[in-house]
Amino acid sequence: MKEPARTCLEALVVGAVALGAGLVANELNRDGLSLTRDHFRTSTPARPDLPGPAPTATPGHEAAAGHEAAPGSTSTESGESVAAVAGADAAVAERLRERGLKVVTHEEARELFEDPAFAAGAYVFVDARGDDAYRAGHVPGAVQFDRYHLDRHVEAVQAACAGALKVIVYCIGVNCEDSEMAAQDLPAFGIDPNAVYVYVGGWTAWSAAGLPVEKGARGGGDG
Amino acid sequence: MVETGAPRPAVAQPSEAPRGLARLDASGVPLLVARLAVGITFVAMGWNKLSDPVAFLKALREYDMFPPGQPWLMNATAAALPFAELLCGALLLAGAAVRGTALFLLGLMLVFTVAIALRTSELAAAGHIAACSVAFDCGCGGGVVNACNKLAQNGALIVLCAVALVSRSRRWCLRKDLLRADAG
Repeated sequence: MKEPARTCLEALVVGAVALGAGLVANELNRDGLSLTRDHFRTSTPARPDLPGPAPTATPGHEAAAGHEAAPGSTSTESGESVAAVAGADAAVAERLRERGLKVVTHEEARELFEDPAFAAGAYVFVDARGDDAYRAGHVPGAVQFDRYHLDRHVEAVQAACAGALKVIVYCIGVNCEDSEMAAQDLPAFGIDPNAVYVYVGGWTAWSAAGLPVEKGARGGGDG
Repeated sequence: MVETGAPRPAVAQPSEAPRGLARLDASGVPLLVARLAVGITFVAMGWNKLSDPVAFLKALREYDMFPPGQPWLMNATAAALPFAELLCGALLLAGAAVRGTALFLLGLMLVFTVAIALRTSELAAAGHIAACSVAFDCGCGGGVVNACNKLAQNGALIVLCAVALVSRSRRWCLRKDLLRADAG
């Protein structure tokens, strides 16, 4: 066999073995992906002309890639002005309403949290972020619903949301779609769609306002 | 056994090639530099992606290059690529199957680079900003990066992959050619 042909064959062998090993590694990885599920079924592809995840115009800006941060985005913690955040909130809220989703503002989310009915379980916060972000801090009492690993969370979410008057879903903030997609997923698991709301400001607004934070597991009291 | 010899005598030396370049290649240094740079980069990027497969899946989705109605294709790509990159990086570092690995990674890099360039152009047009002012998470394993810096980095990696592909040196390689009976 001539050298170019041998090199091509070797590349094919390397590629096939590497990709095959990658699929095996995914199966063994606790955080691996389900290969058959359409993870974005409830959402349309992100488009730059729609409010939502958007590119930054800050050359050289580096941020850690995180499950909680949408691609093409940086969080408001990176220095956006309050007015810009409020404007983005309003634009995203409008887009969500157009898609038939209900929205709560940051003030409304805070009032629901402080309402005595919250402690009685009438209002439930649902955290749509990944494990690391959830453990690092979440709204006290919020139940995790990482929609990319549904099997881990469905039972707990169903138990927490059964009979709730309002289910408030949030993710990192304006620049993420997980809360939107989770809100669209929840009715499939028996949650009343009329009770589901999206908290657009999400974790960024909550933590920036200095509101109570719970760390670790739900109800762990590690705050 | 690590190969330490000079280029194979059976291979004809290109008479037209500059002697300086041939001598430099025979020293094994260009191949070693290319293997180390590309290998370390892919091991690091693969490891970063492996640590958060969902973030990589979301990044892939942003490119909008997978056919609708076939979620398994994007899922399988997001699931398989990180470990594949890690493995290929390790092969280059070890000096095993160097040419085949370099060719495979060269193909990947060309696809990635075209995709990043198209996405950068799209984002720049949508935001009415210069392409070099665009910063986004390209799904490359390094978080949010400046698009032009990323394209320049990819260009350098493509050149280094090409060096590893064409180098005739076998120095400091564990088994440079996997499919050669006498590869050492």
